[in-house]
Amino acid sequence: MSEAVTSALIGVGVFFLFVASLGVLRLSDFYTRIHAPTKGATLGLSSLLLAFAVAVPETTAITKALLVLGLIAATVPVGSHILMRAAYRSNVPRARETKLDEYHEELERRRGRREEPPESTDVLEEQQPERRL
Amino acid sequence: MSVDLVAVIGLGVLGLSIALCGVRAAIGPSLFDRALAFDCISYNFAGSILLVSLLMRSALYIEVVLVIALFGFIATITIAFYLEGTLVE
Repeated sequence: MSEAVTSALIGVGVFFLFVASLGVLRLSDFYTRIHAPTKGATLGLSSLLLAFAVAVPETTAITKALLVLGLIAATVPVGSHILMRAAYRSNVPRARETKLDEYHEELERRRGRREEPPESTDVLEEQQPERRL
Repeated sequence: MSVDLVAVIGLGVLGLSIALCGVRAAIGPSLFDRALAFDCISYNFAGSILLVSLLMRSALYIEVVLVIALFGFIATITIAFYLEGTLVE
């Protein structure tokens, strides 16, 4: 019974890791390419870790496997999101088929808001002589 | 099918996955593609180390997976901020 569960989990994990690598190679665009390892690697590595925890029934193995599982589930999506955000701000080219870009307006709005503060610095410079007195 | 046979076949498939990511790392148009490909290679490498550890039925090598996951995250964040230009002014 446990052998069947282990074999099934290994099969699922290796399948997802392979599909993630295939997506990295074959998809058309950086922004579509980064989807593949984000989802595939999280699910594939989680399945392999569960398979390891089922196959090696020691307390240390199960504890460490669950620890790594939580770490991967928390860090992989965050890292991919940061990488994609940096790529967007560095103007990595998009595929021609892209139809919707909602982040562009949001980014322009934020940049506009960030450039407003120079007006308020004048007030600070006026207040500084009073502090010296 | 025994677990060992499945694990050995899985090791072969993961090696093929590393080769696919290596092709993307070689031809990637931008530096972000290369960073992504090396990230994917590190995931596949962690998976193959897990399979080797499962073949040996020992809990020794899972710390390697822990370290690879941690340093992969730190490396991804560092490379992203460096390429964006906000790490060093």
